[in-house]
Amino acid sequence: MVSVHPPGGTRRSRWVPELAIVSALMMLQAALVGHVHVVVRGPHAPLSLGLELAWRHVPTGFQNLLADTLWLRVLQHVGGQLGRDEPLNVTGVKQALDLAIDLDPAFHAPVEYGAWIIADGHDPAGALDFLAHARRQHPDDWLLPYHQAFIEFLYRKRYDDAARLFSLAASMPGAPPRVMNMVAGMYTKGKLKDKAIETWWGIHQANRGPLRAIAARNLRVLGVAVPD
Amino acid sequence: MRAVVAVAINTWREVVRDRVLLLLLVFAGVVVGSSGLMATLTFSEERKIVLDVALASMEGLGVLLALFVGGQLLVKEIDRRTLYVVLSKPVSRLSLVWGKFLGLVMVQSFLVAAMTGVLGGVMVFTGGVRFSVLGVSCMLVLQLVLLAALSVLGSAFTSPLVTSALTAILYVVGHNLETLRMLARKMVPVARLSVEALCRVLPDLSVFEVKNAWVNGVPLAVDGMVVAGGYAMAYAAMCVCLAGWLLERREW
Amino acid sequence: MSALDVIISLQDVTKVFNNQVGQAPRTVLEQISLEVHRGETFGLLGPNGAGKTTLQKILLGLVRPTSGTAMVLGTRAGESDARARLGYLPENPYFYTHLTGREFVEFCGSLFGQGGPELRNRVDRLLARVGMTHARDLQLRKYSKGMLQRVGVAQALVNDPELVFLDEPMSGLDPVGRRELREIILELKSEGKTIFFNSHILSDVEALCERVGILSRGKLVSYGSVRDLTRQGSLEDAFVAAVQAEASA
Repeated sequence: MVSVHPPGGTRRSRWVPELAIVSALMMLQAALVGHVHVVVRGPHAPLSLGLELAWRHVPTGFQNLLADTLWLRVLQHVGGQLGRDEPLNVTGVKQALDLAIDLDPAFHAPVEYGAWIIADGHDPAGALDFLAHARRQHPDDWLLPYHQAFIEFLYRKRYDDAARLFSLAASMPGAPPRVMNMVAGMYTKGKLKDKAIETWWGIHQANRGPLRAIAARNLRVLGVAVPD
Repeated sequence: MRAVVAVAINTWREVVRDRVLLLLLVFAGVVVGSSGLMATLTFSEERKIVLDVALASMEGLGVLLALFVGGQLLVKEIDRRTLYVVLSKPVSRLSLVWGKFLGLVMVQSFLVAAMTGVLGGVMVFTGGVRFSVLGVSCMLVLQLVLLAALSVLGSAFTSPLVTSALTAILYVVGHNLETLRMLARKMVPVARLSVEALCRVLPDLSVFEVKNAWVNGVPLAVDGMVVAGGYAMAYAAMCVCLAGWLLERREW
Repeated sequence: MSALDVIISLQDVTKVFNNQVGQAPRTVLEQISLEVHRGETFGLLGPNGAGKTTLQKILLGLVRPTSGTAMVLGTRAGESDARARLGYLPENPYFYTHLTGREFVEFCGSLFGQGGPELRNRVDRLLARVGMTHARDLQLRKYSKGMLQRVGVAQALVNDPELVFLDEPMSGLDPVGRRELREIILELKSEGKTIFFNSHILSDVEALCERVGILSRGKLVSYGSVRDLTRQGSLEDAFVAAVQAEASA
């Protein structure tokens, strides 16, 4: 009994679409976990983006996935260096994170942690720029100027800029009252005693409980008599 | 109608027996694998990433099915001359095209439903099921229906390779009509009018894109979905009828 | 012979294909006129490329004539009414290889609006008639040429047609297969069915047909009863003479 092959379609042609599908899926998986990147460029190479930069201009409904891919690549790149106990090289990380939040503005993890990764890699200016980018997308999110203020404080020691940013964060909806404590603390660190006293006194007057007690203690440290 | 149903069932059998449902296994592997992998690859928003991977895979597999299978549906009939057997019976060419299209839609719908089931299972173990994922799946099916119709239309007048390429281009362009319109505003009037007219004719696939916002917690807009559903049905019907008209004019 | 007995009528049918860009139009059939009567077995002979299959396709509505009229079962060729009452076995049939024999014939039956247990029983009887009961649950991709021909005959009869078109039904069959198919055709004749039979195997035509038409390069070069054509010699002699006369014209 012989199988009859029809004209215009042999058994082989049935496999072509299947192979194409499987190949496409494998490429997607490889891109997702960055295997192609690591295999081609090696684990010590800086993070660099090629074709990914075009993703910003070609919305296809896969923006979230592409943003996730970039975030995972950043984590694997940075985590790999930490795991090998190497000095942190964050070349390309800011570019990847900028692209990730452009693709998926609602993606919190890159915003929440990305700036700190960049700052830890001795690029506080880059971290501040990244947070400024996020702030343009989320102008009402008090956490963003809050993080910027901490970076100014911890990495650049610019206490007046930190105070300004803490003050901005404190004025935004949802910011807890303790943010004003940081404003006052920055004035103190920056040797702006009068402003520090004024801010602590405002906190003391506006609050009850622990915050009032903290304000009172700081005022006494600054030489201001505060009734119990 | 009976001929349409008979051809649709035959098309379903043809596609399913061509091992297309193996794609379901591939999907299940991707989703389950990624959900396990995320715990080692990231330290926050694991569930978001798993949902993104799952929904993107569903769309990717559905689009590939529309491109590769849809583009061959009519051509296979012609090349293998099974068309002669069907059209020698009291079946119109339009009925044949509708049957082929609906058969493909049945396969796509089944695949999306099954993949949604797999995703639901994974969601149970990663923070709980969000039943609104059914809305996302419906929108995906509508998009795939439209792509299937475009594929069937292409297969009525050109080769499978060209059909797949054209459908792939329309898929990308269809998601970027807003960008096209934006570019058109910078053109000279004649070019602007032409591009704007083109944007009205080409399928606007961005109306079906809800998964990214849904993953980020934005609720689905039911009225928007209803309008999108009507748009998909109307556009698909137009494509299929056009395919039937083209097939009427062909001879073998 | 009354008009009701004329099952197929072709009047000056011409077919010109224009579908090749940059190439001259191709005349495949030229001024063909013939009639087939109810209950007879009509054979259409001709060398390869004579236009036999094209003529059958016109009668089935797969191809439209460029000029002339083609009537089948009292309506224009290709009309739904006509197609509902005829059966067709294509040349070298390639059916849906993913279906089993039974599924395929059931599918064909469903295209006529049949269904349910009645269709299933009918299909089983047809497959038994063509000797395919043992393989009815096997996928067509595993069938031999002879088996495909038999299933093809079954699907051509699923609607109990008045008119059956057979396009080179014996092609590729071994002698046993040809004998069995010939017997099926004789059975159909005895049931009063009209058979339109394309072939280039003269012995089969001579054995089965009452009247024949001979096509050569798109022209009907000879047409009449087998008895008349074989008065001066064999059908082969008549065929060769007619084809050679056309070639030298």
